[in-house]
Amino acid sequence: MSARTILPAALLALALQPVPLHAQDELFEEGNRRYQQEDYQGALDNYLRIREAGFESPDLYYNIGNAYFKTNELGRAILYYERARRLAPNDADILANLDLARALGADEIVPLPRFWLFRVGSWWMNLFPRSLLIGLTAAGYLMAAGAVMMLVLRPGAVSWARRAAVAGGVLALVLGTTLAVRETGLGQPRHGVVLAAEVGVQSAPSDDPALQLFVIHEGTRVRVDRSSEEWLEVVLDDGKVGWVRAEVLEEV
Amino acid sequence: MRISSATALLVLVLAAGPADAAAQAVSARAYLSSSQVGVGQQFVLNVEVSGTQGVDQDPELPDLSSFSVYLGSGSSSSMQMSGGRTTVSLTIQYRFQATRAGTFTIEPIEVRAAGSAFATEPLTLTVSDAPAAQAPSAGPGAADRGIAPEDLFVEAVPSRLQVYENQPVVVDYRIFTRVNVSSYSITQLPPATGFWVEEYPPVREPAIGQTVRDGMQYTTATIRKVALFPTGSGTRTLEPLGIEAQVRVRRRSAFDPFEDFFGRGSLLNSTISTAAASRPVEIEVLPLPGVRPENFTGFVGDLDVTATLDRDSVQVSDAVTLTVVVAGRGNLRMLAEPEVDVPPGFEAFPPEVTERVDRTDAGVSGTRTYEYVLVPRVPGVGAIPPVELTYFDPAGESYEVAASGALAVEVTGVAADGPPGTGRVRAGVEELRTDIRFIRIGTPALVLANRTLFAHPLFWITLLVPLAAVGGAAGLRRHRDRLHGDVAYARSRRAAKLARKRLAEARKLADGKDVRAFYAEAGRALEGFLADKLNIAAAGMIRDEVRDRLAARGVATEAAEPYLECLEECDRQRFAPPTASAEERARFLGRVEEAMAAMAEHLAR
Repeated sequence: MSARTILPAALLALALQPVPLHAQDELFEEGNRRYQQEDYQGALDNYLRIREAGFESPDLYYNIGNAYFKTNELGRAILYYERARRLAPNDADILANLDLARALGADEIVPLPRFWLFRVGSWWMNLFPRSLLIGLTAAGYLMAAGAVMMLVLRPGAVSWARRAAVAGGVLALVLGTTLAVRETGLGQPRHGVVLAAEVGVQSAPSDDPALQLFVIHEGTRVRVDRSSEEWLEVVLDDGKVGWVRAEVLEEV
Repeated sequence: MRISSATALLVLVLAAGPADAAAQAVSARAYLSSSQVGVGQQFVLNVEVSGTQGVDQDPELPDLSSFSVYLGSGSSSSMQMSGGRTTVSLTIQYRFQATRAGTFTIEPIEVRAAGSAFATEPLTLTVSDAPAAQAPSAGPGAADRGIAPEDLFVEAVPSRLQVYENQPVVVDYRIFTRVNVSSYSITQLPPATGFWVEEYPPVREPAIGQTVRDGMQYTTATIRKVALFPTGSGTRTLEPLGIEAQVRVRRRSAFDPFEDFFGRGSLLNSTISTAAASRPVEIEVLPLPGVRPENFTGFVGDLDVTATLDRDSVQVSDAVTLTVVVAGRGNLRMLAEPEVDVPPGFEAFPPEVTERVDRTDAGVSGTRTYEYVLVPRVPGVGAIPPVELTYFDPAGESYEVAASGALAVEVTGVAADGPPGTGRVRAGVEELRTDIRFIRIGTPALVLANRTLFAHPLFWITLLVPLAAVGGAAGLRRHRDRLHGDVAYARSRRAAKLARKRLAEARKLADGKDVRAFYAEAGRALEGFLADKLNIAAAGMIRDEVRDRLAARGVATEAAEPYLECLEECDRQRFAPPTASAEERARFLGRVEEAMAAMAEHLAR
């Protein structure tokens, strides 16, 4: 029965898989070549075409960030480094370039200390790369399923099957929950990066200059709390809150 | 009137003199050591609080900076007994130096003591232009307080007043005294702004000298000695050094009848504390003349460099020690490490540095020793060029070069394995500029953006297939369990198979001559199937019982009728004459199969 089910499903999966991946890889390589020839704008065009085709990867975002950095677009560079970091939270290269780019930004914001439990939580959430997390979860799940089948078909005969079932089940449960939270973006704040050179932050969604609270600059990352069609409520890392027009920043 | 308690006791017992002791109530007053001083002379502003031995907070002085310089403060408390009552008082002394002539008013001073505030009377001070001569007929009160500025003062004595940058000035802080100083402490250390300070170790027993100054004999002692290296040119000021000294004085009371009797008896001596501060001294620091040589070390003074090797010849990979000794007078601590050109083919390790600094009256001198360990990697002759240090000689007012002799070492043996050292002194990796890290090369592992795992078919396959497999395994297990333990289930599951087998047997007989055998086989198939399904014995099946059981299983009598008819037909034909044609038998077989299928369906409901 299982063979009969898997085969069509696998064929379906193959059919759903987008075919022009090969073409995108070539675009990427062409972009890398141009980058190495210091044609950063050309490299950027190539990379962005891949993105417009609906694809993403940490490496792609990282390279886009580098190309924007080299063309002196600090805000967009930081935006793409942040996007890369969203996909690969612990990548050393991404973090290094993000730090360097942030250091060039005009706003020096001292982040508020976070409650230790949240720090532990986000550490755990970002501990594994996505592919490893998926692989481990699947392995645990398949192991648990196999062991349960073994237990059902040959009761009492195998003690290791019980242990394997428990171990695999726990692994699949813990990592699966982590994976599910990560995939659904549950509890993940929305972030945005300021792209305009200088933005006045208002105390209410209004352009009245009397309501201006403070000014932030290109490249500053903010948390987006509430949004209407034209206005966003943003929270700085140091806890300052205010409203900006939606077009001055782009969401990570 | 301030008198020590011991004296007070005497007054009380022997003289019963007029007691002017204040009441126990707290009061405060201020007075000056003398209401008339000369410019440059010191005066003492006393704040006396009687009735208590402490103040709640230090009194705030009015601003006297327009005509004086604050030097330091001290305090003393005393106790007076009169009529069986004890009166205590506290006196705080502020020492000032008058700087401007004129008549000045010292505003009332607010004193907080014993929970309330007191204001003193305003005071008037006249500062005269000419340094006032010490009044020969100082009143007994002044004599009591007794220490004139000329009696005890501190002087900063620099070794020279004009130096070059980085050339040391040895400053002696000397105390001059005509009174009996029992102890002293430094209350105010001058800040060393603009100087590198090399402090001489403090002397526990200062050497006492005698000096005649302005026709008076003074006892002098050095209380602090430093060498100062100016770090830049311009005029620098040696800020005052303040001390507080305990001075033993003998009461000089005109009407003390016991003076002769007790003479210089200790009972009539008392210790009072007094403050003094040195005057600021200006030092002129000259910039170094002329054009500085390119490799000038910044050192001013006198230098001598020697370099030695601990051996003339060495095996490859053996260590040879190069010792560079820099000796001289001046600020050796600030001297940078000399540049040593290590011959190619030698590996050099960071030197071990030892330092010895001597502080003498002439200035600061010393030696710095650098020990380099050199390890040759290739054979040959390694030549070490002279080690050179350029310095400024203030005596000759010229830039000089101190150089060691050239050295050479013979290296024998064969080249060591591995790459020869670059010959450079090892150092940390220096960052020339910062840049972002390079882009990622290679396949970017692209995935469709904004597609979560749940949109991927493989996720659902991986999730559901094992679930289905486990479910299937559970069903299989249940089936096998029933086959083992449930006869009815087992028979029921086997019924169709057996019936099919018998019907196949009957089909073979359908064309044959033995009509009875055909019907017997078909009957067995029908009976066996029903018996297996109902889990009853096939032999001796009673029709009514079958009907009841079928009804119990929910099969209506009408539904069971075709099946039973088939059974009856079989019975009839088995014993009737064998007339049924092959065609009839085939049709009957069809009916049997139909009835069996219908029955199976009814029973499965």
